[in-house]
Amino acid sequence: MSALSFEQAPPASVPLRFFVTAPFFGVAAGLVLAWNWQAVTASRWAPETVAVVHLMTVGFMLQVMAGALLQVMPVAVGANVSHPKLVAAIVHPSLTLGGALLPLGFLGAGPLALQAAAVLLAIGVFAFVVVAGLALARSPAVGPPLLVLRLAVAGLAIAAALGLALVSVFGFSLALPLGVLIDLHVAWASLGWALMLLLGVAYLVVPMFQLTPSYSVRTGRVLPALLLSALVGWTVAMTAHLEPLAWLSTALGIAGVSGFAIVTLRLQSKRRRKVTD
Amino acid sequence: MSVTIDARGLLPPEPMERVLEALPALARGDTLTLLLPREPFPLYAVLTREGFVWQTRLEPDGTYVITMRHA
Ligand code: HEM
Repeated sequence: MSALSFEQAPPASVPLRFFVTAPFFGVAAGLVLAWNWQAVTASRWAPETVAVVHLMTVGFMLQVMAGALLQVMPVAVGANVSHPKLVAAIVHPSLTLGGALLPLGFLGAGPLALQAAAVLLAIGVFAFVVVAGLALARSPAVGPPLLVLRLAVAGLAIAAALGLALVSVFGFSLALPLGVLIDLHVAWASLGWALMLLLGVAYLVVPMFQLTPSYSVRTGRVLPALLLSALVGWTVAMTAHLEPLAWLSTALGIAGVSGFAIVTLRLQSKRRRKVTD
Repeated sequence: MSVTIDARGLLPPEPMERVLEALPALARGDTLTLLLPREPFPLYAVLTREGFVWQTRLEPDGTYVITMRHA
């Protein structure tokens, strides 16, 4: 029996500001490509490539998802964000300004741009992670979606911490092992944050809007467990140079990603017929 | 008497509409059961406001079973 009160979603202005600024980062990514696509296609390490990657992943995707999560977490998993307007007033300008300065810094605007980007993104991302994390920690929801959203927010925190460590190498001239840091940053950002988030959102919206059967509870737990063990395994393998563990972790990661695709395609092939009475 | 609404094949906002139609007819001591592929937090808000209590159970196949009655 529950006697909790459930607040309404936050005012529309909270998510809207994120959705208004995000497309400009997509435009900026397009402009960098139009201006120097040769550099981007020539090398993964070209400053233009890294700038385009972050205009899309931080400027566009993180921006949109921060706004969307603030809006839907209360409705989707009963995670009520306290003081949503104040949170948006801190997170949005930090992500916007930091998200603009980071690619500018990569493109050669100098260490000051990277240092300022690091400080602003640290404020924006960690304010969001703390607020979203608290809301998710206090949620009374049962079942896999809540678990997976918690993991995704933790994944974002780790990916951002590794990204900030990388910027410190460039912006503050710290001596850290660059190759390992980049690999781990990419792994946590793509599997730990982006794919984990996609998984949690799929659990909710595939049955809801495509009218398929639900993801079973067991599948709902096994998929994130595979992704998480791949990430933890990689992290240990790369820092301790354990080749066999790296291979095992890769296999677990492939199983998680392809398992998600196969399960989702099977559910979509078994759409429920609309009940008419 | 107890009524069950299987809303697993229905697009939003139909599940919520069905429940809101059925609640006024619910007699004291009777239960209304909703089957849904997700947890309906917006419905919980309405139930709290209207003086109903509920229990939520998650089945292994991922179906949420929400049983409602008067407080
Ligand atoms: C706090 C936010 C972030 C910071 C400060 C940051 C910083 C960095 C830095 C310094 C690099 C190395 C660039 C180089 O080697 O020249 C990098 C690489 C990369 N980051 Fe981030 N990052 C952030 C967030 C993200 C997110 C959210 C994603 C994806 C969802 C992401 C995806 C990548 C990828 C894919 C690379 C490899 C780029 C390449 O191979 O061209 N980053 N990041």
